[in-house]
Amino acid sequence: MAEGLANRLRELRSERDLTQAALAELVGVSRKTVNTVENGVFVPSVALALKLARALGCPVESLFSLED
Amino acid sequence: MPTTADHELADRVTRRRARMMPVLAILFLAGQPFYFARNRIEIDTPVKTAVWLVWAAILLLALAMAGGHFRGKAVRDLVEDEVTRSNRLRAYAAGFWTAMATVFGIYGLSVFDNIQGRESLHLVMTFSVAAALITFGMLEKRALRDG
Repeated sequence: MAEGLANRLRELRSERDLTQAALAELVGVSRKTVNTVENGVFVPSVALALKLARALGCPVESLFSLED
Repeated sequence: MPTTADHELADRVTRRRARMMPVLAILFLAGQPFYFARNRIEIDTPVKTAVWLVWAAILLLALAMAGGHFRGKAVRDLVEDEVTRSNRLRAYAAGFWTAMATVFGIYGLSVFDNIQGRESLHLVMTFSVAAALITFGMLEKRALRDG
């Protein structure tokens, strides 16, 4: 994971039966953005993290956490 | 809010851009031996220099603006997303450090050979632009790769 930031994006997205493309459309970003955040290649901005959390209907701290 | 069609178009534009950047850089680099081997700067034609300058300027513009500019704001925003902006900054950094490395190399070389100012500028520009384009293309390809 990038810079010690863990995320549960793939897990929560799958629970809601959303593809990366579908989540990207909900958030209004590219599929590439969702893909890179999900794979830990890219650390999103606060605004993007909040948008992802809102689209998945969960608090941002349940989506992202610092690795020990 | 962008439509599904906007997303699909943006994805295609992004993939094409990621493929094209390294190819353009390699073509740019591949032309350089002819420039230096056949015509030293002092007998260079203005046309040849102008072509090289225009080519370099187009590549710089491609790196800075890269894609989606004639497709509407929705597509452009998707193509120029956070990831792309971050990748572009890293590509600029790669270009800068390549320029510095080239300058060091030219200084070293100037001890043994008489290198003219224009030749030096040509080398710095060529290597730094190519490094930035290749870096950007590779980062974008990696971002598009499914995990």
